[in-house]
Amino acid sequence: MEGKRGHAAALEVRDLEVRFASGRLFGRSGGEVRAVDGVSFHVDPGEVFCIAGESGCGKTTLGRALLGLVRPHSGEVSFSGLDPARLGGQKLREFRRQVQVVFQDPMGSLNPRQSVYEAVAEGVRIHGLEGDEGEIVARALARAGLRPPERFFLNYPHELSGGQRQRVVIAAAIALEPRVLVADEPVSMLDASVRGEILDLLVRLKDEVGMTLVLITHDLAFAWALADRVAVMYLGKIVELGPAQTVLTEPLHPYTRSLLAVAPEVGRRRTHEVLTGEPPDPANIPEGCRFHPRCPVLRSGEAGSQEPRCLAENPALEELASDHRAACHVAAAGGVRSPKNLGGTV
Amino acid sequence: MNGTLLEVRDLHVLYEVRGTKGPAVDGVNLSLRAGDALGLAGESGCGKSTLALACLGLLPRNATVEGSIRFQDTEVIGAKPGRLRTMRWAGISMVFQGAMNAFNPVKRVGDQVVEAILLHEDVSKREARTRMRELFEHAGIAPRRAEDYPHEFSGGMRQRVMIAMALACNPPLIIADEPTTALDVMIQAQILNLLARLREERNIALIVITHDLSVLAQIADRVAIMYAGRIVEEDSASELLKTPRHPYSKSLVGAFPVVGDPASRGVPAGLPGDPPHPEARPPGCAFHPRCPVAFEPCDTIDPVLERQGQRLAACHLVAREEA
Repeated sequence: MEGKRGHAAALEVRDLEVRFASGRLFGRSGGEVRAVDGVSFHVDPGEVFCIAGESGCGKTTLGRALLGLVRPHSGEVSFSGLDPARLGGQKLREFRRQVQVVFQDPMGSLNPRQSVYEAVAEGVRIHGLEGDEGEIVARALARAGLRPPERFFLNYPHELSGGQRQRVVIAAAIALEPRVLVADEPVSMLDASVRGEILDLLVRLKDEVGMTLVLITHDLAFAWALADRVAVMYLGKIVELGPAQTVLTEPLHPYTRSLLAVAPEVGRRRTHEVLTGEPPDPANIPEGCRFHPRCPVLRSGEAGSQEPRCLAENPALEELASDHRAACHVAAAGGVRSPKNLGGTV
Repeated sequence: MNGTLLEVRDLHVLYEVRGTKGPAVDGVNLSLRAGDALGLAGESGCGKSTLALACLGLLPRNATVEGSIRFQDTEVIGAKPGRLRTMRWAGISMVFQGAMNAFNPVKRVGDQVVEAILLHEDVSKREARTRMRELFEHAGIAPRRAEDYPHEFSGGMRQRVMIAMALACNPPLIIADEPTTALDVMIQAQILNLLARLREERNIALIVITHDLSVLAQIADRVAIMYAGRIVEEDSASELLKTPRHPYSKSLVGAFPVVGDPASRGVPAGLPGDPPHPEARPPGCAFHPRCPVAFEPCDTIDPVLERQGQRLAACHLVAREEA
């Protein structure tokens, strides 16, 4: 999977596994939860790579593992050779400067008792950036769209709107001139009118600063708008991976099709085929293909001769079309490519 | 009674903050018949939630209300607290965004629904329990889960319990304020399907308040877009969401990319700036400082909400295009 285009990948992940002990509060210990269960992919420099899936699919845990915030059970993460799980001290600090993160809830990322200036300057001080601190902070705020920056220096988070708070978080991240920005649902708590602005900002920064952007979201419409490539996760595994254009218009995996069928869409009413039940439980991963209990293809009998494999064999992520991979026995047998199955559009 | 269920006439709600009064709702007219589904959309602070609270008679003390809100045969404004209490639940009930806050964390959810039924209706405890179980089943929750506590439910299930509770006294109108905002896509689709089904089966009218127009595309018949306390555009959901006319509605609709549409590859168009504070409403059209197509009358003359066919719009440009 290494960068095909000849240059080194900005980020490379190999066979990453993250497990959590699922202890019951009272009573027997519950065994292990495999939140990320053998994930491999690479992200090219300057690319927008999107990790999509339902709650509980492991996308946030994967994001945290990329940042070194959770320790993987096995496998490796590499940002130009740096693996946060194997770094310590000065090296880890350097890594943290190069790989920054923006979370969903800006209020949770900001200290309510810290002014905007302090929030942005803190990282600059910790990493001992060269140059005038005031200038660095002002430049980052202006870049993040808070202009004139001096006006915001002494504001506290509660005095700002949701969009402005998220801009402060972004300013604090980009002040360090990171090479990679991981954004976990950066706009899902923001108003519709502000979303566009924040996304615009992220993409513009990517172009201006040459940052690589890893976007974690449940919203395929935003993946469509922004991503170069998309990885769809289900129960800790990537089930489909490829260019946004093909994954989202000619999906190979039935799960991607189900997600697309419920993707919010203005101006069109759909009768959804909604997958039933709660998001699946990573403490209890089904045998065979992990999607089989909810798979509409299997239920409708379209799986045909592949059905026994769906129930017994874990499908591998295989390249089925140019640069487009999917982990599905039926798709691998050329079974479900007809676009008529694409959601139930009215 | 198949006529008008809710009639809002020239509603003004003013909040007094530190001595200055600002209108949060500034002259809104609405009417809703039994079984209708109306979507109210707009940014935070546009007055959509205030409008809903006013319909329930739940406004905070620093609010002054003028105009009229008639629900069935009750005038809500100025009604006695006792009258309002019976109207809530039995007449209008509400589903909020954060379902966790609506429950008592130390009581079983089933008991909380039973309590709500007993409080409003003269039925035996046994009858109330039977109804609670029916409601749970209706909302897609296994009745045995009535014995569980709120924290034992996932976000989607909790929202279902909330909907079951809203149905407790069989109200003809449910107001849902951001009913799916904190939920995952798949769960969001399930909850919207549930609301649509209940509406069909029980002829319940819905007012859905959200900033997410894609939700309204799924569930509303009619959509009203609010800006700075006023309705700026109103039409059937299919028409308005497909061909918005008001520049503000256009920017809201444009903020949602459509998968598969080549035009929405790339960054969705944002809308710069913030909505005005209620006490500092700009002269002329309140939207003109942010409007990409504002022209000469916009900063001086306040546009009125005019009817063009089925569509209502408050915009000088739309009026000129029509003329």
